[in-house]
Amino acid sequence: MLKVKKSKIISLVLAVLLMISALVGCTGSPEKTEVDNSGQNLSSGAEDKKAKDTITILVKAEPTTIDPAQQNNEDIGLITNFVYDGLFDLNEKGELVLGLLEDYEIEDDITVRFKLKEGIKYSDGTDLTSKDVFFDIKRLQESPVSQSHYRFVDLGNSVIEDDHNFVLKFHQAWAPFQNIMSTGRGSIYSQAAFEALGDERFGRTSVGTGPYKVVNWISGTQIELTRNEHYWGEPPKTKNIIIKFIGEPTARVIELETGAADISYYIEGNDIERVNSIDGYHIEQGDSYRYFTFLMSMQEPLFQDVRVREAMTLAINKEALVRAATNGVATPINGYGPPLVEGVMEMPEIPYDVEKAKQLMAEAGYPQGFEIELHVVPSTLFQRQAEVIQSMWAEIGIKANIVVSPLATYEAQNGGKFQASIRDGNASEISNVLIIYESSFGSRLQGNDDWLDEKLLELRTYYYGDPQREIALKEIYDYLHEKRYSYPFMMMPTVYGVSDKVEGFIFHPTAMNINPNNWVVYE
Amino acid sequence: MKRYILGRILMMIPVLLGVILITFTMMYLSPGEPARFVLGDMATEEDIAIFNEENNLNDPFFIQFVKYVGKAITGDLGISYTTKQPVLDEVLARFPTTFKLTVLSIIFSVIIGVTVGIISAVKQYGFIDNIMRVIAMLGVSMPTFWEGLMLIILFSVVLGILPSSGITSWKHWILPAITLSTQPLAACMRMTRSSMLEEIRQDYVRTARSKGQKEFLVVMIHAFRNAILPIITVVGVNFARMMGGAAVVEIVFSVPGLGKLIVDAISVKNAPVVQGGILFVAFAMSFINLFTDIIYALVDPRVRSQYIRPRNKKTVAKEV
Repeated sequence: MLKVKKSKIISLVLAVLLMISALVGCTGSPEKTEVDNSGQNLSSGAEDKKAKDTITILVKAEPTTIDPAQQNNEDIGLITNFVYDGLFDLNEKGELVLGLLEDYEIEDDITVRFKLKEGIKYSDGTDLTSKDVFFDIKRLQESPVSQSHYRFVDLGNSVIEDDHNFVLKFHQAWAPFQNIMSTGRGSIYSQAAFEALGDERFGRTSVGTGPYKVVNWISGTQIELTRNEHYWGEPPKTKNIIIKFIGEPTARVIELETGAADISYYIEGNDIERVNSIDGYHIEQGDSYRYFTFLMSMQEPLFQDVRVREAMTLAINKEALVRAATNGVATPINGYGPPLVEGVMEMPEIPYDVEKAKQLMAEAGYPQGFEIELHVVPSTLFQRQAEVIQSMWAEIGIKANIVVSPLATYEAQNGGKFQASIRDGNASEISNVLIIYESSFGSRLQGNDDWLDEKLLELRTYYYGDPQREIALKEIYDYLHEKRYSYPFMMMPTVYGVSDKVEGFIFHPTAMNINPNNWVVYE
Repeated sequence: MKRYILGRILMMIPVLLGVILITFTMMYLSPGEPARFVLGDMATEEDIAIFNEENNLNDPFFIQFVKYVGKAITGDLGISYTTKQPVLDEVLARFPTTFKLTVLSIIFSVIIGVTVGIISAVKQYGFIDNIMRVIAMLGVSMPTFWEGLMLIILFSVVLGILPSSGITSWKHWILPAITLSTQPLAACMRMTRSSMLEEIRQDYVRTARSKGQKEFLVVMIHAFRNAILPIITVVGVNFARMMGGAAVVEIVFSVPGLGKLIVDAISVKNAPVVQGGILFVAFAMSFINLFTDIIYALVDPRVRSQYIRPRNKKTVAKEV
């Protein structure tokens, strides 16, 4: 009996010790041990400057395709950036620069003459020609995902003059054309290669002019790229790139901790400290094009009175909101878009004034407030923002019921309607930032403002450098500030986790345009 | 026996039809237009209309269902909304990974679970028995995703001996297999222990011992052989369950399996992939259940005799 009791006590103690040891992993900073992809320990210590021939990058999702015409999210753009080039590009300062073009000239409002650089070859050794550009634009206009972006091109009246010169006609003046052509959708690829491969296969490989080409795509795991020997520019310094798909942010950080990756895109705000504390890694962080705004449906009866909209913005303490929701990682903004975008103007700060807000609510006929739904997409960041705003609005009597669901689901459940919502935007051109206020772009604000519709269309017809553009922008901003349909409140920085052994990494506000050519990682 | 197997295969048809109907209905009724998920919120109404037309989403429910079943019978599971690839190709690309992971996990859980279960039964209330029962309870209770993350932290980050994600080498399979095998291992161990305890108390075991048989032979040849049937049931059920339940492990370890494919497809309402993936899993589970029953028959002559066609009376009479 005593023996049984004794063994039971020992068993219990051992079980407790087992649990404690299992929990050890939950606390403290991990001691970094370097491992390679196969799990073997590498030797450490020697300051050997031998360059590796492969850089491993982590991204958050596998692209569904790398066909530029089907690009509708940045997962695709991250990959097309390595294997394709566009007519234009965005440099690390967010400035538009020439890509495949030697030159271009805006001849009149609807006519632009383009000249391609000569001698540019695709990864299969064939030449880039004007015909490819026309073919690619035609496919974009036929793609349900991209056609709205390229409707402005009047291909029927456009002309190919020779292999390197062509003239595009637009249906109307279209100022954003350079920016549109600098995105992943604007990537130029070989018509012959597409026709040889067919739709399905083309989306899983690449025949582009970019510094790399796809050599292997292990579905669900990674894409392997190798240097494009026909690349027209300075050859990339590292021969191979492996892009691994790891959905969980924590798992991406763990990959850095184990040394199994050199660069990680998409480091979350609450992982920044952790990555910085990893021996041999650091954070590269800077302004991005991603901003957050809360929106009030322009068709919602409760929000028809501008005093209500004003009150809802006055009740928000922006600094506190940004601090609470992002632990200070994000930056409060006072413009109607990310500050990095050319044309976004700094507006007078909307003060935090609860008393004034209450007064406006009373004047509008809602002294006791009202109840609304505040929709956010499933994301910890959005939910935190919603909770903070909810508590701030409670002070002026507005009871916000937070609804968390994918946007398409929410719209389907509510007949396409919504009341208030927190959304993020990610655009590098001002017209694409302001598009959310247009009636034809229904899902963001459910626009119904004819003046705004006309003004935004008018803005697109003023090319950069035209003084009318500045005037139109000022008018639009003043109007938006007065109307308060939205309340942009913060810009989320772009954050990369980078190994200290990587040289030549230059921060770019968007990973979809980052330049990998000078990256070198040493052993 | 052949007739039994054929009958079971035929019975799979209504099962699979039922699975298709339920999955199809749930995807149809779930809110949200696939077009909005796939095309993004920049899509215009015209874009959405084109998408719906191309994917026959404007047809009534029954027409869509009948068309889908008609194609599925021929092996055409449709085209993925997002990748534009045939769903069958995507499923077949991912299925081997999930199957391999499941097989590794079940092998691990059976070897360890049965061994420990036998030891626990033989040394009932001993030190090992008590420890193993606590571990089994922990194993059954521990959330899979938590266990996976803890193993990653311990073996990948702290010790640095195993990789944390992917499947590019044999070492990549170890942690996911251990994680997925924990609950079945615990269940297997408990069932083995319970089943063995019942058998080692039987008279025939006492007889074998009294005849001077070695203890090892008494336990493994006499007792275990009779205790194995419930264990086969548990292993079979767990194997089938793991086929469908590997999604969590696949997500934690970034293993590109069928479970992860289905979960990702659900989030964007990619109905063809969800339906095709679940249909494939149901198909696999049905075969696994059939396989379990066949093993039963092989192991237990009493079960086997139920499937043997009775000899005709003339032959029996002649023999008599």
